[in-house]
Amino acid sequence: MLKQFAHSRSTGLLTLACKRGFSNSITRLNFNPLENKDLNDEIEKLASLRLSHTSIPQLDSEKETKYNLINTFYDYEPKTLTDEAILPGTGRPLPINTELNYYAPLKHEVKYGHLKAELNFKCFDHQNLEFFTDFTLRVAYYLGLPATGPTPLPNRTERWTVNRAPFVHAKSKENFERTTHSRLIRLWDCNPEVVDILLSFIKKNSVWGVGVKCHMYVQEPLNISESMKSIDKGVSALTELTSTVESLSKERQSEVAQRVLELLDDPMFTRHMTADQIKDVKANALKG
Amino acid sequence: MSQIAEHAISALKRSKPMKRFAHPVLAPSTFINTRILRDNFKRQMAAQNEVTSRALKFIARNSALPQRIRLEAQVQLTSMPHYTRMTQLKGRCVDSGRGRGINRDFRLCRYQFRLQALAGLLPGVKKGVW
Repeated sequence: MLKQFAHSRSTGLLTLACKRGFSNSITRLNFNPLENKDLNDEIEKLASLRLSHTSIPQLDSEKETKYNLINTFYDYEPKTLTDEAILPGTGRPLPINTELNYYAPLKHEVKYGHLKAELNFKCFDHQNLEFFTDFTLRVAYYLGLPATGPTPLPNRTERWTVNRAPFVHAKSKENFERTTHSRLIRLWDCNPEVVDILLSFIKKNSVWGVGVKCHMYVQEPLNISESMKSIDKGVSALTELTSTVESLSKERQSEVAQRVLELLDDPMFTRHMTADQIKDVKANALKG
Repeated sequence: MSQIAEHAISALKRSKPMKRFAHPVLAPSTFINTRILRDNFKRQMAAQNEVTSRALKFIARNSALPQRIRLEAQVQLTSMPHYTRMTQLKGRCVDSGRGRGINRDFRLCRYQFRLQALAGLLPGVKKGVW
């Protein structure tokens, strides 16, 4: 194994396809027993040499661990060893991350099974879509996000039939269609902040014609029923002007709610109210 | 752009004596003819008055509010001009101004849709073969 590794290193520049071969085959050592006739003598000589030394040389521990690194090679997938040959024109070898683009994207294992986000990709053609989902999976890997997918979702086909002619001749028609391809990527076991980083990164490096929709999921505590007790005022909002106005004044973002308060405060409407009602409306309109 | 369209835009830009419409509006960025201008005016008015009319509808239809207030809101709603209503809007072809046979997905009439689809101007649209 080592021998072959060393050999392939010394061959220098090869084509990319050659370098990226699987190297599990066993190479024979260049060893011819007929050349060394007195092998036993040689071995005895070596043995005496070893005995003549008083202490046996110890391997440096750092060197030993370095040497043993090669044994860990078989723990990894894919099982290849490649050349660190310098690429022509660049003056340096191909970086490992670049080389990984030739393989299917790596994925982190889903550990806890908490679904945090679903990314829905849509496109009218599948090449751009596949490229972009592949890119997203790689981004997720380097951000440390466990991601699964891309799962192909059903294609949506829209069809239109129109008259060929601008005027009359309705018997002659023409059909048109548009297919929307879509893929789903799920993100697991992560914080929403990291999902945001992923989204902003893929938005910055987006591909032409691919739409992305993201559903983010949040887990609620089990005591949600207790927190709902505090919103029982909503029932009375249907029966009284005061509480209606009060609940409207809380909806700061809603333009319509604010406009309703403004209108109720107008003399056009206040002339139909009692003094107490006017007071309530005015107080809440000021709040809003 | 045709000469007629240019003329219409310049007329809009000079819009001081524009008596046709009650309020000044922006010119549309599409094909221009009289009916397009009319629809464009209504669209902008409807957008401007959307919040008010929705608020009035909220008051008129809210059964928690006193009956007199609800009636007043309904009267106000009825007294708003026609051009502020969503129901007055009509889909028109953005490239020819035609009012019939409009494809909502592309805002084009059927013939413009066919021409542009055949020219490859509509993303993803191909001749249907099945």
